[in-house]
Amino acid sequence: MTRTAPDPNQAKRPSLWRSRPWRRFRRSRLAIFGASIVIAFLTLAVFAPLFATPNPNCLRDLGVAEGHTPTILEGTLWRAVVFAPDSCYTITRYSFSSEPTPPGATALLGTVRGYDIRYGLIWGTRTMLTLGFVVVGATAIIGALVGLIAGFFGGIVDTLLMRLTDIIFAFPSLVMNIVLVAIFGPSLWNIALSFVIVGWPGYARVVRGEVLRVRALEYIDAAHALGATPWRIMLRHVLPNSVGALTVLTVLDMGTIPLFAGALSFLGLGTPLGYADWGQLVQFAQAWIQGPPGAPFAYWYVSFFPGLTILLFSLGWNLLGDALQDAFDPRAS
Amino acid sequence: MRKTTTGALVVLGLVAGSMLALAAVPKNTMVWHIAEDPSTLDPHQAYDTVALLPLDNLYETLVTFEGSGQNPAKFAPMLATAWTTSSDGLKYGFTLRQGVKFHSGNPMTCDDAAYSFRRLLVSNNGESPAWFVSLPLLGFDYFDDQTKAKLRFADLEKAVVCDKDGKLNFTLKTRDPAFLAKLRVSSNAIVDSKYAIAGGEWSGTSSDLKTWIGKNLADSYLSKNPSGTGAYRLLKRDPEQLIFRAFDAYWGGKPKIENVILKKVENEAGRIIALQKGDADLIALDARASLKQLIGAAGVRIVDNVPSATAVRMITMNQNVVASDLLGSGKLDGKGITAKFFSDIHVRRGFASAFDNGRYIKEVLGGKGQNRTMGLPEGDLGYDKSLKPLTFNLERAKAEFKLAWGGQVWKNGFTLVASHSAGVQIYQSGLELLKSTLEQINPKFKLTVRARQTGAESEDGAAGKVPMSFTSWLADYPDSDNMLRSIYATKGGYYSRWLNHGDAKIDALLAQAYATGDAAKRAALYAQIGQRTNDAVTTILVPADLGFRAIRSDLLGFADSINPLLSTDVRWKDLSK
Amino acid sequence: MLIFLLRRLASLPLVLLAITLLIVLTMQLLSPEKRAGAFIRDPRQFRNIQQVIRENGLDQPFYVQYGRWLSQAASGNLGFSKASNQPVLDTILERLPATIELTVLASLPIIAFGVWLGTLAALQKNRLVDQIARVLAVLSYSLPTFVLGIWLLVIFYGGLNLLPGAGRVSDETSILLATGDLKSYTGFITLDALLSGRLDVLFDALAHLLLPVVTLTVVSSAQILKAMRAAMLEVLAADYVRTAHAKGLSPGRVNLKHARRNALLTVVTLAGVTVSGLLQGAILVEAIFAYPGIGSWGAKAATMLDFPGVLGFALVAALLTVTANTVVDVLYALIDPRVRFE
Repeated sequence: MTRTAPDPNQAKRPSLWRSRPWRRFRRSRLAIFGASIVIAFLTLAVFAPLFATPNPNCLRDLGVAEGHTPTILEGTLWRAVVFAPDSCYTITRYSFSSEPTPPGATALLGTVRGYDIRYGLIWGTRTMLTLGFVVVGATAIIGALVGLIAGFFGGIVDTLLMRLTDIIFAFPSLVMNIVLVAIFGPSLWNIALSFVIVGWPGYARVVRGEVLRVRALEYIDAAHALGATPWRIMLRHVLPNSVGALTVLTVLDMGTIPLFAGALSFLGLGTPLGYADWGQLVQFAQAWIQGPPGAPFAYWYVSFFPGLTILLFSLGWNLLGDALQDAFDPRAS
Repeated sequence: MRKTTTGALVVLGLVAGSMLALAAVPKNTMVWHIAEDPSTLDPHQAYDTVALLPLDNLYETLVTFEGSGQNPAKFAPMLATAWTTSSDGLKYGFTLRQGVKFHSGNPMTCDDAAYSFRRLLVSNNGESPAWFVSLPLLGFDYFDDQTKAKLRFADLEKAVVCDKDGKLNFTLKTRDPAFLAKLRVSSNAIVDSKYAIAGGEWSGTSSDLKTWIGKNLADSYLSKNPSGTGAYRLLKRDPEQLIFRAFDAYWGGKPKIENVILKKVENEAGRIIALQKGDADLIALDARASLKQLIGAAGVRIVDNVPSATAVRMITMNQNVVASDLLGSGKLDGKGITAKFFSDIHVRRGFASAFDNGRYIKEVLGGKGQNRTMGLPEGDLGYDKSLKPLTFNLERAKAEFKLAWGGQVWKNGFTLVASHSAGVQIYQSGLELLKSTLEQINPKFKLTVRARQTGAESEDGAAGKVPMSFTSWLADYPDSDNMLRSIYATKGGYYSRWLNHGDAKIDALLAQAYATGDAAKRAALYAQIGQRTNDAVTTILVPADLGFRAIRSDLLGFADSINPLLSTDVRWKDLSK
Repeated sequence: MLIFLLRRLASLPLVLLAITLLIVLTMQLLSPEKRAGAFIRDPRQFRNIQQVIRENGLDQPFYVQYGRWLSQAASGNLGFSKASNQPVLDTILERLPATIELTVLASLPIIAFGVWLGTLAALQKNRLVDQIARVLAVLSYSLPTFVLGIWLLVIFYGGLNLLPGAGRVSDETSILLATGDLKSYTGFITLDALLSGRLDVLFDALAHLLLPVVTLTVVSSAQILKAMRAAMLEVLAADYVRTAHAKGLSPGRVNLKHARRNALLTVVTLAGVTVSGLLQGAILVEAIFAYPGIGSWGAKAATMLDFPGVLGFALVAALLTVTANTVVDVLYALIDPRVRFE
C-alpha cells in the first residue's frame, strides 16, 4: 500500500450538519418547502397500501380471503408496504364505461374510464419514484464513470466520448426517447432504459470538467509523485469534489422525469392501460377536459388532480435542486 | 412602466385582431376536422379508410351501391350506365356514361377506364389494394418474381379492353361472385389517363411496362395532382389540411357546397370545441363516450345508430399456439396454458359462456350494440338470424370449465395472456370484462390483458403465436366471402393462424359458395358456415357497435345520405348548408 | 476566423453521419416485420407483409440499408416519410418555416422576460422579487406542457371565445392561400402577410400563434432567467464593478453599463441550448395546437418508427443545434475581446 498525500479538504471538513452548504440549505425557506413536498411523496409511496387499499386482485395475491377488507391493524397491509405483488399496480376499476364519475364515497377523487383516480395517483407515486430513482441512479453512475474515464485518459478516448455526448445533445431528447421507447416497446423498464441512454451525457460532462479542474491542482501532482494510482486519485479526490454538482443534477432530474414520462404517455407511448402511472391518468384526461354542454368544468377532477400531482412532484424536486445548487455554489456568500 | 403599456397594447391589438378574423364557417364552406392524415391521394395505392374519404369525392367508380345501402348490396350506375354479365360469369361489359369530364377538362373515354384498371393491376405492390381485382383478372393476388417476369401487355389487354363501341370489357380467369362489389371500392377509380401520362406516369403501353410493375404510387404525380371525375377537385394539400372546391363541370350538376376543408386536428379536445363553436361542421371522435361533451350543445347534431355493415369484432382462441412467451409456463399448472389449450371444446364453450354480452353493450358500448348470431355483419348474404350461438351464462361456464381437460383446468387454473392492438378502448375494456367474469368463476383463472403495437400483434398473429386476441375484421369489399374467408379459412385467410381450428370443411363450403352464381345457394352455404363455427365455438362473437357522427345541425342531407356499405358513409355532393 | 468557421462546419457532416448511423443501428433491434409495420396504414395490409419487407429492402443487412439511404441522401433524396405522407425533403421545407415562426416569436418574450427578471432578482437578492423570480423559474420547469396547453386551449378558445383554435391561420385565409389570392413568398405567414400588405391576415396568423407561443414561453423561460440571475450575481461581485461603485458612478449606471452587459455575455452562450430546448417544447406544443410544424412531425415519425422521417428530423435538429452553437461561438468572440479564434 502506498500512502497518499493528505486531502487538504479532509482536515478541516466539519460535520455534515454544520457544513457550510448544509447551513445555507437549512436557512432557505423554499428549500424546506421543497424538501417537505418530497418527503410527503416518499411517505405516500412507501405507505401506499395504507392510503389506498389494494385492489381485489392484489388482495387475492396477498392471500386475503375474498370479500374481506383488511384494516391497518392487520399484518396484510404492512406486508404490502414491503412486498407488493405486481397486481397491486393495476388501478382499481369500478366500471367499464369511460365516462368520468365525480369524487364521492367510493372514489374519493373520482374515476375516469372507470379507474379510481386516487388509487392511480397514490400507487403511481411508487411507480414514479421507482422510475426516478432507477433512472437517476443509473444515469449518474454511468455518466460519472464515462466522465472520469474521458477526463483522466484524455486524448482519443476523451475526444470520442465527448463527440458521442455532442451527438446525443444535438438531438432533442424527447424525440430520442420516443424513438427508443417505440423500438423497445412501451413498458416501465423500457422507458427507464431510454431515459438512461439519453441522460448520461449531462453527468459525464460535469464529472469530466471536474476531473480536468482537479487534475490541474497542485496537490494531485503531489499525490501522483507519491505514487497514488490514477483510480485512487479519482476516487479519493475527484469524485468527492463532483458530489455537489452531481447531487444537484440528480435532484433536478427527479423533477423532470414525470414530465417526460407524461409526455410519452401523451404521445401514446406510456405504460400499459390501467397501470398505476400518472402519465396514464393525464392521457385519459385529454378526452375529458371539457364538461358536457352547460357545465364546462364538470370533469375538472379528471385533469386537475393528476396535473396537480405532477406539478407538485416536479416542484418539490426542483425547489430542492435549486436550493442545493445555491448551497453548493462556491461563489455565493 | 412604458414597456408594460406597450406589451398590454400589443396583446389587446392581437385579441381585437383575432376577434375580427374569427367567424364560424361561412355558408359555402364545409370544414371537417379529422384525426389522421390520408396516406395518399392516388386511388390505386390507397388502402386506409382515411384516404378513401377524399378519394370518394375526387374520383368515381364504374358502379355504386344503391340507395341507403341495403344489405346484401344492390348496385347502381355511376360512371357506367349499364352492364352485362355472361352466363358463365367470366365476362363483364360496361357501357360508360357520356359527357363526363375530368377536373383537367379532358373528357372521359373508355381508354381512361382501361388505362385505370391496367395501372391498378400493374402497380400492384405489397401495400396496394389491387390484389382482390388482380385475383380474378390475372389469376394471382400479388406479384412474385415469376409473375413479374411473365407479365406482358397482352395479358392486361386480355383482362380489360375497350371494344370499338367504346364499351369496357373484362374477362375473368375464374368466376367471382363479388366482382361488382370489388369494382365499387374506391381504389378502382377511373383516372385521367392523358393528364397522368403527360405528368410522367406510366404511358399505358408495353414500352415502359417493366418499370411500373409493382411500383409504389404513394408519391405519384397523380397523388400530388389528382384529376378525377368527382364532384370536388383538389385546390391544395399542405401539412395542415386538404382544401377542395366544387367542380363546375361535374356531370351530375355542380354540388351545393363550394369549398370543403379537411383539417387535421390530432387533439380530440380541440376538435370537440371546434364543433361546439361551429368552426367545424363534422369532427372525428375517438370513442362514443366523447359524445357526452356534445349531446345537447347548441347547434350540434348527433347522427346515431349507424349500423356497422362492414366490420366483425371477435375474440380469437388459438387451438394450436406456436410456442412463445405468451404461453407462460406452457403447462396446465396454473401459471400458463398448453399450446393446445383451446383445442378442447369445453374450454372454448367455457370462455364463450363467460363473455358478458349484456354488460359489454351497456358499459363498453354505452348501450349502442347489437348481438350477432354469426361472424358476418347483420344482413350480409347468408347472415342467419335464427342461429343461436352460445351467450353469457355463468352456470354453463362453470360446468364447461369443470369438464375441460379432464378437470385439470378447474383444479389448477391457468394464466392466459389476452392481447389486443394498443389504443383501442373497446378491445381493452372487452377483455377486462372477460377477465373480471373469469376471476369470479374461479380465482385460479388469471387473464393478463396486454396491449400491443398493431404491428407486433399482427406479426405474431400471422405466425400463430397469439393465444387469445380481441380484434376486428374490416371488409376489403363488402361481400360475405371476404368476411368469412378472412376469418374462418384454414389456409390463406387473415386469421387462419390466429385460430388454427383445422376444420377443412369450411374451406370446402367457401369454395363451393364462390363457384356458384346463384345467390340463394351461396346464402345457404354461408349460413351453414355460421352454424358450423357456432357449434365449434371457433371464436367468441362480440356484439357489433353502432356508429355515430357528430355534425353541425345546419349541415343538411347528412343522415339521409348515409350509406353504411360505403367506406366513407356520405359523399359531399349530397350535402348542403 | 474563417478557418474556425470552416472547422466547425466540417464537424457538422460527421455529427449528422454519426447520429443517423446510431438511429439506423438501433432500428435493427426490431424484426423486419415490425419495421415494415411503419409502411402499413391499415392492418389488413399486413396480409402481405413479406412483400413489403422485400420491396423496401428491410431484410438486407443494415449497412446495405444505411448505404442506400446515404447515397440517396447525397443526391438530395431523403426518402418518403409515412408520418407526413410526402417526401422528407418536401416535409421539411413545408414545415420548417412554421416551427421557426413559432420558436422565434416565443424566444422574444423568453429572452426579454428572462433578462429583465433575472437582473431584477440579482439586484434584489433574497428579497421578495428574487423569491418570486425563483418560484416562477421552478414553476416553469415543473409545469407539464400538455396539461397547460390543453387548459389554455379550453379556456381561451372554448370558454372565453377570445382566441382561435387549431392551425396556423383561419379557414378563410387558408382558402385565400390555396387559390393563390394570397401569395406565399417565404412560407412564414406573418412575413407573407406583411409583404402582401394584408394586416387582417397578419392579425389572423398572430392570433393563432398566441396560445402556442404563450405555452412555449411559459415552459421554457426558466433557463434564461436562472442563467441571467446567476451571471448577474457573479458580475456584481466582481472587482471592476466594485471599483466603478467606489469611483462614485450612479448605481443604475453601473448596473446597466457594466454589470448587465457582462452578464449578458454569459447568457448568449445559452442560445445553443435554448434552440434545442425550444425545439423540444415545440414537439408537444405543436401536437396540442394542431400546428403544422416540424416538431409534431418528428414526434409522429418517431412513434410510427417511420425510418426516413426520423432520420430527416434528426438531420434538421442536429443542423439547427450545431448552427446555433457555431453562431454563439462567433458572437461570443466578437463581443468578448479576450476570446480568440483558435
